[in-house]
Amino acid sequence: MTQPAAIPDNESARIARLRMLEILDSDPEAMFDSLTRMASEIFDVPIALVSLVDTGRQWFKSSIGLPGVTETPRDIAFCSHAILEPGIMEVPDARLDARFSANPLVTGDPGIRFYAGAPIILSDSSRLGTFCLIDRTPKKLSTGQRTILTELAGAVSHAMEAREIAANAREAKRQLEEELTAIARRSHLLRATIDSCPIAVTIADMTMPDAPVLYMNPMYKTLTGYDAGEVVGQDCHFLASKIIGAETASMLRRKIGSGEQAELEIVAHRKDGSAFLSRLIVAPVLGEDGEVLACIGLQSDITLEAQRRDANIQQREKMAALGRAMGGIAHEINNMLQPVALLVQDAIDNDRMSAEGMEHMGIVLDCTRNARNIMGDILAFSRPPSRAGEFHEVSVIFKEVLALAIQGLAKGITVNLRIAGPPALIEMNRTKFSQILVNLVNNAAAAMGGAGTLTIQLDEDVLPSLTLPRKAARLRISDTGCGMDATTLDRAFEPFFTTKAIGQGTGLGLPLVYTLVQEMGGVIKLESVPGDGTTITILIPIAKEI
Amino acid sequence: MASILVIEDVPPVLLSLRIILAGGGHTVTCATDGLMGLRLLTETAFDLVISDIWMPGLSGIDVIGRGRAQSPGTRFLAITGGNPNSGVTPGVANVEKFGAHAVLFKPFEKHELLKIVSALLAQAPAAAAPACG
Repeated sequence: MTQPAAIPDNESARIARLRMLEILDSDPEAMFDSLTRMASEIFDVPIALVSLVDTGRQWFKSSIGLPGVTETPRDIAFCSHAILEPGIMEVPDARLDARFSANPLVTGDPGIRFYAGAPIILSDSSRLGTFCLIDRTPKKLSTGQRTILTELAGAVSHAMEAREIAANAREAKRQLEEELTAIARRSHLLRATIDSCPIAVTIADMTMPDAPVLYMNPMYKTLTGYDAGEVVGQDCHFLASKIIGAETASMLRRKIGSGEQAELEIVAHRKDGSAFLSRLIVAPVLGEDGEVLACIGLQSDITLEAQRRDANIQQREKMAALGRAMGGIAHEINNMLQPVALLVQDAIDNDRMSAEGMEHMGIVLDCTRNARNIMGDILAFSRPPSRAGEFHEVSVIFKEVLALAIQGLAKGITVNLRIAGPPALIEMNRTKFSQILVNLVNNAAAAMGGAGTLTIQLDEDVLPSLTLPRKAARLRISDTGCGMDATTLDRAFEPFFTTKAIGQGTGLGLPLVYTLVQEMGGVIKLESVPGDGTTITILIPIAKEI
Repeated sequence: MASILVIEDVPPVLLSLRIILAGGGHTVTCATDGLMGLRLLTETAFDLVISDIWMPGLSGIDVIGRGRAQSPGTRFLAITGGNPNSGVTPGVANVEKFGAHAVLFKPFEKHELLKIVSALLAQAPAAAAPACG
């Protein structure tokens, strides 16, 4: 009869510990093989094994004398019994042992007669398997031999734990290396980012009394002309003094010292003495306790930007002065036109003219009316900007104002109207909005010479912005008229530039539209192909969606 | 017909206004500056005062303000060619009327002037006695 061994009480913990070793089904290892080989010699047995008892099998970490056999089923394994014993389990002749006499390992191959197994016990008392000796003839161990077998099982247990510790150490090292690689990669990327930054960057160590510069990026050399060799390791205060002057450098140092950030625009000097307008930001790097560890300096050359800004201001001032001058001129001319308008009409009414004179007076009156319209445009253009403060639902005001704008259009012009987009409020003055639409519609009509299609669309778009894109109402007016060439397009917003025949336009229509759209915080775009017509797009920021 | 005071610093404008208004059958008194206009207004009861806005010395806004206070029964018409310094938008709706009952932007036409004058005069009795309810 074969009696399967009982399952140990702590079986699940024992199996868990065995699996943790990650030894099952591993390759042969010299330290275990040398122990089994040694045992085979010392005990003069053909078979010596390091056997680990797994859930359904015993698996041999090392085996001498059983070529090609790596495991056997657990229910016939001698070792399943041996791990239950406090010490060595010795079976002098299996044929005479009721537990094993019918065991196929006894009755058949390998024909076991003698078996002695010492449990492999880890330091936490887990019994994983045995170090066992097997012979095909009956045998009995001496006391000394039993001691040696116990020692061998102990050596295997130590080796397994050492093997596990080494494996854990290797894994920890691998993880550490992985982390270090990741950190190195991140730091490399960070460094590469700062290196390629289009702003000059310096970092100074504020924990040292002379605050030496730790780092400068290539842009710093481009901007100031100083090499890394002249900068890194040098007193940052001394360096700053050379570039932005001692007084400013001291001021910045005080700010940084008290943990404040500073930003300024200042005339700075390169190594070669040439000057540039610098936008400089210095910011402290604070430690956990708020102490100043380092100082980051960011510097860029804004000379061109400032020139453009100044030019813009000058242009605006010029336009404002021109506007004021035009206001004065318009006032004088309106006064001079007044008696002409009244007295000529009076002369006509009272029939004081010959027939030819009457005709001439009619022309004079027409001219007076035209002059009045021109003055009206000039005054509208020269009026100082003011915020509207009126809110209108965009499609409602659009429809109302458009109805007036297209009233006088020639019969040959077809108007295509498309309104889309969600309801929204825009801030604008009704009169100004009507000035915009009337001017644009009249221009389109003039470009089409009395016949064509005028497409007017209202929908929603986004007002482009680097910082905060806003929703906008988009108004597009397209005509099928003569279009504009590049030169005309370039000058279209210029005051007094006109393509209309003398007496038909003041050249103030589009500039006025441009000014009004800008006042509303909007943008205007002109697209035109000669012969194909013109499209004007206006974006007006939406104040509120409703 | 009505008695009208015209205050205007530019002589040809003043003259043309006088001719047209007189031609319309009104009695026209002329003043070439604001102070003179106000003095005339204290001496005579006018049905209508037509005043320019931008004049040297006392401005039309002051003339209209004080004039309306001292002569509540009189109607006031402001006429202007725009602000020579900053530009008032002429010819557009919603513009302030400089304290007057109505405003005309120069250069206006004869029929516009006569129409607004008769309209103001027609309203005059109702507006002249608001205190009586």
